[in-house]
Formats: sequence, structure tokens, C-alpha cells
Amino acid sequence: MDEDLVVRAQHGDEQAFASIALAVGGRLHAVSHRILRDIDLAEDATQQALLSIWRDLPQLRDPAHFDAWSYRLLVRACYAEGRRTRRWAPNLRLLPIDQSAAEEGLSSVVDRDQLERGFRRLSLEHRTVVVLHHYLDMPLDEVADTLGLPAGTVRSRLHHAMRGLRAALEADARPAAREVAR
Amino acid sequence: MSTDRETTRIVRSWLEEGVTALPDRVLDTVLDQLPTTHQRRSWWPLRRFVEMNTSIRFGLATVVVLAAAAIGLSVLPRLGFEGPGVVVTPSPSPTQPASPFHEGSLAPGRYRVHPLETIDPTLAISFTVPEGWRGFGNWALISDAGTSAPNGTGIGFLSAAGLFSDPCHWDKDGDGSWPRTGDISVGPTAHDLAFAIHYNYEIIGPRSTVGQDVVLSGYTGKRQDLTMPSDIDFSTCDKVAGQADGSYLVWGTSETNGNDLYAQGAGQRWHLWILDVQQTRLIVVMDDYVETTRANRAAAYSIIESISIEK
Repeated sequence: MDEDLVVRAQHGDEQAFASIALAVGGRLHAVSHRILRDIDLAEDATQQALLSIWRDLPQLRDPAHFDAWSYRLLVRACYAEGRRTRRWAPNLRLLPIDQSAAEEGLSSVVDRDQLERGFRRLSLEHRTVVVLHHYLDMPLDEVADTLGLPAGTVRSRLHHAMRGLRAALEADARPAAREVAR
Repeated sequence: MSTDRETTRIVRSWLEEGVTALPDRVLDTVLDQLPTTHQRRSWWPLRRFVEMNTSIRFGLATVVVLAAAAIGLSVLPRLGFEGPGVVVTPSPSPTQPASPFHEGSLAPGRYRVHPLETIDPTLAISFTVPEGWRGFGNWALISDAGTSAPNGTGIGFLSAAGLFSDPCHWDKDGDGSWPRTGDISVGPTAHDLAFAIHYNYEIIGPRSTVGQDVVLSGYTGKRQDLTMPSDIDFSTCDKVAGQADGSYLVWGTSETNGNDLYAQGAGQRWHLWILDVQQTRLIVVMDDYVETTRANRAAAYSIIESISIEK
């Protein structure tokens, strides 16, 4: 992020903040969507996060840390949104499928469906670690710093989350194999 | 059976799917709200206490205490301190019309502000500002020396929602969010807050005096002084999200403008006028340090003496 824009926004320049919001809005929304797995909740969380960023920007000591700081506020907004409403549980809506990604990465629609179910079973805290590390490619020590957690806690959450997702995939593989055998 | 590596590959691929663009209407909603969303600014920027040679510190303290005794006592009796009265710096008449308060440099004159924008927007405070002071947010005045250690002074119009049981370790849920309410509930009156401060900070926290009855602008309340420990190491305190230094929070607020009380330096002193303004608790605070100049301290007291509260 352009540090000059951040400094100007810190001093109340709404135009500078509009440029920042335009630049980071998509990325923040992508992250909140992947954590919350609900388009409406994600939009609300992203909106709240952007307003928090504007409101608290003067508190940011080092503009160079804007990205990590903004993710921290976003995660906090996701937690608040996720806990305030429980809509995501019954409102099971699969994400739109990108065909090329599906062909290159996921072996089947069944995998995708099982991952979705497995991911929704994880707590928001566990989902967050998975998304920051595996979607944003954030190193674990950076994830720990962003979330304000000890590195060991982050490693433990990631391990637990990935074990759960692996179990979800394997649970699906067994009945699917039986179907094929018949 | 999938391997860990295979699971990671599948999860990463799956995460790549989905939206990556923020709808324009969300962005528009955010931008529309900017003019009415106040930015939170720390008027108490936390700084490490400047270490001084003990003898120099003692010498400075002695000189300043003697100077303060000579100058400050003139104003103190009317404001709730004890001691004989002497003359203070004259200030513009409180009866002159008040201009709207604003951020930045303030020309000498009378100003009016509504500091409790959420709790009680009808509460207005007018006061007279001497040369060299500037406005901050809609609730604070800062001297030309700033408000931080080692020699700043400032005045704030604060709200309080609960005390922090351990001001250095206030982040009980570990998310660094601020402002927030304190973890110790406090009743709504001036007496409730003054009592809670003295009772809770007997062992840990800033040293506190017992609240004494006081009247300011016709409203009754408590006068109380708090003094920060001189050996506090802020680096050991919990951090507000995004800040490198630890923060020491005394009480919380439910106001959106963040007008709570937190420390800026070791040895900081807060002089409190905790008032019951009808059903609203208002706290007027003046902060200073042993090294605050005699002129700035006198100017701060002259501002407080000129306060008129309306509701």
C-alpha cells in the first residue's frame, strides 16, 4: 500500500482513503468471504472492516504495517459478524465454481462439497488461520502477528483444521469408492 | 487415503475459487459514511519516559514543586485543592460569545464543545483558551508542550464506562481492540467512579487520592488525583491492535470518539473533576508532570476555572 496515501488518510483525507478502499476492498472481501462462507455476511464484515480502518487509521503507528493491520481489523469484523448472526449454518450456499480452477485443482464436485462441509464445521478461528496461510500465503509467524496470537497456537490451529479437512475428504472417499465398486 | 501434501493442494485449490471483487454498492456505502464517522485519535500518544540522572531528576522535581507551590495554589482552592490563594493569569471573560470548538490551533478566546456525542449530545461545555493551545477531536485541549512526558499538559472532557482491573493487562480477550469498556463495572455517579478508582487501585494501578467534594460550574462531584508509577515499563503492557508500544488503560469508554483515560508516560499525574451533570457523569481531567512548566500549568488551571457547563 502506498504509504503516502495511508498518511493522508490518517489525517482525514477522504479522497486518499477512497483510493485505499478501492485498492484493498477486493482483497479484504475475498478473505472475509472465504472465512465466513456466506456472501451477505462477507459483505457486511468487509464494510465494517473498511469503516474500522478509516476510524482507527490515526492509531496506526507505522504506515508500512498497513496490510497486516488491515487484515487484523478484517478478522475482527469477521468474528463479530459470524458470532452476531448464525445465518451461515442453515444458509448453505456453495461458492460459484471457476471451471479452470476446478479442472486443475479439485478432483471432483464431491471433494468440493465435502470440503465446504468440513470447513463449515471448523470454528471461525480455525478457518481464519487456514485462509490467511493457504489463501494469502502468509507465513505462520506473520499469521500469529496479525492475529496477536503465539506462533504455537497458530500452528496448533492450522494442524487441527487441516486434519479436520483431510478427514472430511476421506469420509467422502469411502462411500464414493463403494459406489464405484457396485 | 490422501496425504497431508495432497490435502494441502486440494484445500489451496479450493480456496482459489470464489469472489475476489467487492461490489460497488458496498464500497459506496463505506465512502458515504466517512463524513459522519469520526476518526479516533490518541491525544495521549504513549512515549517512553525519558530516563534522567537521579540527582538531576530530584533537582528538577524540587525546583518545579516549589514553583508550582508558589503559582498553582492561587487557583487550586476554587478548583478543589487546599491552600492559600494568589493571583492567576487573567483570561478572557467567560461571558463573551463562544465560538464552535475545532481541531488545530485555537486563537485565544471562548469556545464551546459537545464532547459526549453518544452518551449525552445535549451536554455543552464552554471555556476560555489562552495563547498557544490547540484543539483535539471534540473533547480535548493540548498545550504547546503537548500532553506527553516529560513536561506536557492538556485538558480532556471524558466519559468512563468501567475500570480496568489491571491497567497494564487490560486485553482480556486478546484481540487488542480499542476503545472498550473496562472489566470492572462502575455505577453511574461521580461518587461511584471516585470510590471505585480509590478502592480498585489500592494495590495495582495508579496511586489515587480519596475523592473530595467539589463544585465546578454549579455541578457537584468529586476531586481526585491519580499518579502513574514512576517505574512503569510500558513494553510489558498489552498492545492496542496496530500499535508497537504497550498501552496502560485506566478506564474505558462507550463513546465512539475514544475519550477514555490512558497513560502517556511514567509519573504522569491526572487531576480529575468527576461531575454529576444532571443524569450524566462528566469527567474533566487535566494532566501534567513534575516537569510541566509553571506557565503551562497555570494556563491549564485558568481554562478549567473558566469552564461553564450547560445542559
